[in-house]
Amino acid sequence: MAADKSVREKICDYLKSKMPAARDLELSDWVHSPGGWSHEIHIFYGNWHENGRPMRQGFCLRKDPGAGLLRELSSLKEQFDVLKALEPAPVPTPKPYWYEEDPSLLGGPFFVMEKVEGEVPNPWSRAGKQAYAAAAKRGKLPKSFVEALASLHNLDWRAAGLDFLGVPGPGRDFPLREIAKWEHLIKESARKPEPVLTELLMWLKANAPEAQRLAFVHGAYRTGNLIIHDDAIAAIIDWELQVIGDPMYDVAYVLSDLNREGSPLLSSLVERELFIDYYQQLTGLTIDFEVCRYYEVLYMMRTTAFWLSASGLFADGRNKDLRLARTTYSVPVVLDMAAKALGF
Amino acid sequence: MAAVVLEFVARQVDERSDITDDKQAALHALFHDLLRLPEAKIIAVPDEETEAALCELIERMYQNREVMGQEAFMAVNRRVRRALRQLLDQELKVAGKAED
Repeated sequence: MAADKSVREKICDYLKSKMPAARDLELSDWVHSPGGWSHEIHIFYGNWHENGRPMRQGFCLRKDPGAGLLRELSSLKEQFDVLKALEPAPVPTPKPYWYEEDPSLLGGPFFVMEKVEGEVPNPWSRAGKQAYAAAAKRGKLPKSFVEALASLHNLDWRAAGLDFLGVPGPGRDFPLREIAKWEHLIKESARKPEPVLTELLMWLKANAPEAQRLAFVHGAYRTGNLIIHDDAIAAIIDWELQVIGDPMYDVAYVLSDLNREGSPLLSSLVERELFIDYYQQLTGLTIDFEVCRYYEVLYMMRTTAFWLSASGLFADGRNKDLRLARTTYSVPVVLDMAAKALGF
Repeated sequence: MAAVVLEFVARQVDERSDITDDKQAALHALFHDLLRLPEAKIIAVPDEETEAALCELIERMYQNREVMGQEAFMAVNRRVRRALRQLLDQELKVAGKAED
């Protein structure tokens, strides 16, 4: 009869097996978040009794749907291992609980982590933009934004055991590895020749800069991937693109126009001067703006790879999320941004 | 449902013959110019005037960058980029973002 059970019942049974001391466990306040393009996200509360006392805890479950945006480049196991490695580190992250590979449980790999209390205003929505603009005026959240990023870049990633992510060699190896990763996704996804993208890829390979230092890099550090509570970053989330690499890769993402849709504030939240000064102060690094401009172009290539992958998955019938279909129109728009950045 | 939407969209794109024609004209002009550009001799301009052939040409251009020398590379790259701009402008018409 297990096959007939609803997802909620299956998850409840699973938690009961993992929490033997929990009596009368029930799950409530379910939200099936539409946010994830790579994974299904279920958020809920567990309510139970333990040693005669009532208990309540929020959980977040991420499940591999089998045909997510990043295809095989996104690994739930890696995300779980990253969160485990970060657990004792001074980096705001959700506490990871359990990872399961067995598809017989929920139909695919999944992991369960703490639901961190707070909000994630959507930076692309009007309400979200207003929320971030108001927080910018209050002044506490922008500083917290920079502090959380600095906590990543100041982390001793070898001591934290994060070298399983792969350590680039010296010189230009980091950007070349990133290009190779996204070029692979493009080759898997593209349904027609893309000469503008070919020019972009070849330019990126020919002009790859040397990384001055390696750090633990989130890969998509922006509002929307940060849980906010009491005007502070309560947790950095969306651990799908992290790498050991050039910290300027994250800095470029923050500086990028890609993440602020016309707002004068970086990530719709932080004054540019504040970000630059405070980041340099906290990390001791000097921002290399030329390198950042290069990485900004690399992000345009990466975004193109995402949209090609998304529209390809929809076209192949492997993913029925209609948001993926419209991304086919975003490809030339991002390529236009890249072409303009390269001067044509 | 998804397949129906996609087929509709694909048909819309397919039926924009003006775009196909303008892209073909841009490719024809590019390959025609490159055949006459002395700096482009080393990268073997293909007979086929397609976007796939252009992708291969761009790859060869960068692979032969050092042999060509900076000046020759820049001359060929400039002409290629002009064609890429024209192709992109056509794609942007489909995306509804063309700067007319």
